[in-house]
Amino acid sequence: MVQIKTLADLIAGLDVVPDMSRFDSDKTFRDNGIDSLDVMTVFLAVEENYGIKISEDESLRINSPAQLLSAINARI
Amino acid sequence: MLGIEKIAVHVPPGRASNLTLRETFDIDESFLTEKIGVLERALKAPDVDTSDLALAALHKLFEEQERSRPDIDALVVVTQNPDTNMPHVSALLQARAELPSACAAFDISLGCSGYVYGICVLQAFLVANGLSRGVLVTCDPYSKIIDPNDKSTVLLFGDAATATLIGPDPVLTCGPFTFGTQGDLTGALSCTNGVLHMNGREVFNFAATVVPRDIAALLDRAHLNKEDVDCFIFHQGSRYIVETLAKRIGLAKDKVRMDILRTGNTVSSSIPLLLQKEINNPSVRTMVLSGFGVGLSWSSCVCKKVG
Repeated sequence: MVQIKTLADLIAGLDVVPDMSRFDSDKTFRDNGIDSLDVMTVFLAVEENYGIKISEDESLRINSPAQLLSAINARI
Repeated sequence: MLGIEKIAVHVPPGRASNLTLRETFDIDESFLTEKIGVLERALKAPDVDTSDLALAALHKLFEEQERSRPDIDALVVVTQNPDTNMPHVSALLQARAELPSACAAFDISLGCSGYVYGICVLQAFLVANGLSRGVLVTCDPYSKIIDPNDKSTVLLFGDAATATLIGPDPVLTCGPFTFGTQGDLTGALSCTNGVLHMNGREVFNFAATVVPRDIAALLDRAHLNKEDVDCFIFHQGSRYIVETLAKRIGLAKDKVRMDILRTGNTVSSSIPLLLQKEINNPSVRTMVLSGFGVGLSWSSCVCKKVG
């Protein structure tokens, strides 16, 4: 089971969040300062890191790090 | 040895501003400049067709190299947006540019990987047939197929044409080459009923994972290290994808060319638009070109200055 801190650390390493001290996994990617292009980087990093694939349809329903965490944990 | 003798480019004077679309698509100027990398897109006039743009690039090439015109043995056009399905654009150009009737003329249907493929195909065609000079034209005006309401494409693409003279007195030699195709991903970038469709995430994942592996394979085949290469010219899909590639391959920013702010992504013309600028750059001797896109398809090569 992946913990939110692990996912937050992964996202922090991507250098896509302007201020990680204000990171809130329940807020949307956009409210965390992660724009639509950076979201693609986050998804790719997750797929590569956990060896999973998140479909296009499902990715469109994932709007926050917390939702992404649920998608990860449903697959591993 | 055959190689690139000259490159001419034609960017139409018309521009479409992305700034005027900020409200429509809920984006700000920094997203345009820092992420997409395009403030305005080069736009052909409505009555200008693919062969007109291509002819303008050819005219520029021959303005500076008129002696070559009667010696052109082959004319190759890379496009997926021809004037009409028949005839091929290269045949239209052969007549309008008054090239010899002995000139071979054929089109190559490829998108953003087309320039690198085209160099290899034309060079090989000339060598295989004992011919000496040919011109590779790129011209794929996506304004013909863009849906103005589609945020994922309308902010990106611009129109342009280029003409590259391949001959026996090169300033650049090209090779080795690498190629690849992931035909299972054709749906990620396609044109149906005359409208372009792009799955941005699929194309991004493809480029971000395939191109770094391809560059590694190319450098290995060429017996080069990253440090041996003075400049990398990637297809200018967007600023974001070029910067992502630089990051994932581990390249210094000053080695990676980026310039689509005032033109947009000009498909198969994006690499020669940048390559032309490097021909007279004395600090650059060895380059890597890499195109990737529709297919999904990719091709990369090493280019070296002669002399």
